[in-house]
Amino acid sequence: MDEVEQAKRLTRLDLFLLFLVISVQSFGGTLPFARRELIERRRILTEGEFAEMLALGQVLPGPNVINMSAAIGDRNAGWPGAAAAVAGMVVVPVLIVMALATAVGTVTGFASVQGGLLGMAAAAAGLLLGTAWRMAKPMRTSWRGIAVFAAVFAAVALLRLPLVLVLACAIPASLALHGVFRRA
Amino acid sequence: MIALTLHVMAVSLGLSLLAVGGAIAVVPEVYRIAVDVNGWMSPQRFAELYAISQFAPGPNAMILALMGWEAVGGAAGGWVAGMAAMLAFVGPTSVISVLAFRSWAARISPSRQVLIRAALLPLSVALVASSGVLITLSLGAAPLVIAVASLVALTSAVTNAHPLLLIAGGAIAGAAATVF
Repeated sequence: MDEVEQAKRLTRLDLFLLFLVISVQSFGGTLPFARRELIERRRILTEGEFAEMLALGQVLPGPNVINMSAAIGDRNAGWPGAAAAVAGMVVVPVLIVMALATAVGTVTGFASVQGGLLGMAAAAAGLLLGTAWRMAKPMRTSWRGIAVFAAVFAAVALLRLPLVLVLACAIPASLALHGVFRRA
Repeated sequence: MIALTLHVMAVSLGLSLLAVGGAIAVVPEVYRIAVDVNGWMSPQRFAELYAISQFAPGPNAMILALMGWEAVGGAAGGWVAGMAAMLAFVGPTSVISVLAFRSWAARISPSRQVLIRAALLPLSVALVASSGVLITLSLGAAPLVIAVASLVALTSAVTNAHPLLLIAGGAIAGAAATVF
């Protein structure tokens, strides 16, 4: 490896701080903030590299952007780099969310706070439905997509079956239905 | 408490391996395990914690930390369990991710990656929609809940309104309803 290449590598501390900066700004999803920081501001990835890494992160189990942060950490500083990047993504947000839950817990005696929490939870539920609709854009006219959606929705939301069972059936079925196993 | 923390970590680890297309996909399963199977919290409490998790910055996976925190009953033990749950959720999947990025993942042909994503998309969409329905039902499906949830669903489906703004709007509507 030549020296220029070496100099451009991020250290463990760089990686921790980079993903910390991304995670603490991420209200309502990490993706837009990761995109802005990694591509536009820090120029660590190109648009194409970002899309490719995200796509792989989505195919793997686990949170997409965290999968991507682990891979970026590993590329720069090996396993310790991956650990630093992932820690940057989760440690401070976990402390913030528990502090918030504790703070809310001290005021739940008030009727208006309980009403507020109820309204907030209802809005969060509505947000999930709106998100599902937006995510579904590429498959809204695909009978395969709609069939898999209907089966999984019925199994999970209506029949309340264990997810592991549902995925064990639905993943192979959907992959086959979409022609993933067909020879190229 | 140690046994409970280990239980929460095991649950988190199992859930992480089922997170196809992102952490949000496991919300219905978190609900099933935390409310139905283990009785760590009531349906309404789950919905409250989910809302709080959405009001904090960070990845969507924050509900896992609050699951651990609530299961152990808040306080100091809750903080440890919350952090442990999150590390169990992201640790093993990050190891898989690093190994996969180093070797086989980059060798899947781009055309096959497109097909795999198309095949996984309806699953993720169904799990996100199921989360929305389960949380609405867990709130007792009162008229206020239905009204706020549908209004937010419509707004977020057709506009680019910031999620935080919509959640704050819901909180204000809910608080106002108790005053009038």
